[in-house]
Amino acid sequence: MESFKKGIKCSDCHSFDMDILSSRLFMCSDCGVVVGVEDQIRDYFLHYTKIIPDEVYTRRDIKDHINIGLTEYTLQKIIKSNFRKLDNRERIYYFSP
Amino acid sequence: MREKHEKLKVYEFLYNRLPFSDTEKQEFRAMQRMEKLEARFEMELARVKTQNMSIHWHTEMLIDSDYEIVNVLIVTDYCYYLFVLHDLAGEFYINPFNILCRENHEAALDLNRSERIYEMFRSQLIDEGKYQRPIILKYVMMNSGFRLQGRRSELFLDVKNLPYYLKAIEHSAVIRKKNHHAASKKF
Repeated sequence: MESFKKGIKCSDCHSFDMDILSSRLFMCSDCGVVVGVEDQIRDYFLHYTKIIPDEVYTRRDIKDHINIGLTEYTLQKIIKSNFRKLDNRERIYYFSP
Repeated sequence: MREKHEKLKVYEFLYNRLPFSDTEKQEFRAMQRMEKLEARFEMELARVKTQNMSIHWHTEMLIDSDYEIVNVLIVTDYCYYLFVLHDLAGEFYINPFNILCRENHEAALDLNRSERIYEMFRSQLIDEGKYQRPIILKYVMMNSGFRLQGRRSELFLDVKNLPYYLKAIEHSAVIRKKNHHAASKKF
């Protein structure tokens, strides 16, 4: 899906203009809706996995998909809660919330 | 608790991520409208006691090469209630061919299809034993701007009467008679 636009968007107005309020909260710059970081990211990958099942990701891929400047700490927390390492391959993950 | 329709969730996810064709945009808007209507119906349903009811959301069926949606099916021990939600607004009338028409005579809804919906459900909802629960179908006009001129129809339920209708279902769903044997619970 080459033309598929990655990234977290607002579930209300579908804008990609999301600001980081804190390590736990995003806010849509267009409509002002505030949402949880982890919930939005989990939701994104849940839906993405339905369309492209069995996808595997590197850490870089996950960051590209999220497409928002999260801190390394927050990113690590999200990966730990929502992804599992693929067999014994150190840096390859699959989505498993 | 009602779940959002899976197809709508996918469309919402893909909106603005992939280009949508005009048909897809139309379908997405239609699904969003339907979702709002069902959410409003759910709010009305939350005001009645539903312990004696089984509630099923959003059934799509193919009738004569066209899809029909029954938004809500309420099952009680005594009756099946089908609700089809509409947000039509303005002045309407029913013509001699049983078509709901706008003031400008443009066809809005073919009321004859209600028979087909009824037949479809009748063939599926078969109760054990002699007693077959009746099936009642209602078109709920969720827009308070809907006005029906001339010939009336039992099919229509105004949004202002919806709370009372649901309350009546709540009351009738309760077993009152000592010796009454309710219809099979299988559905």
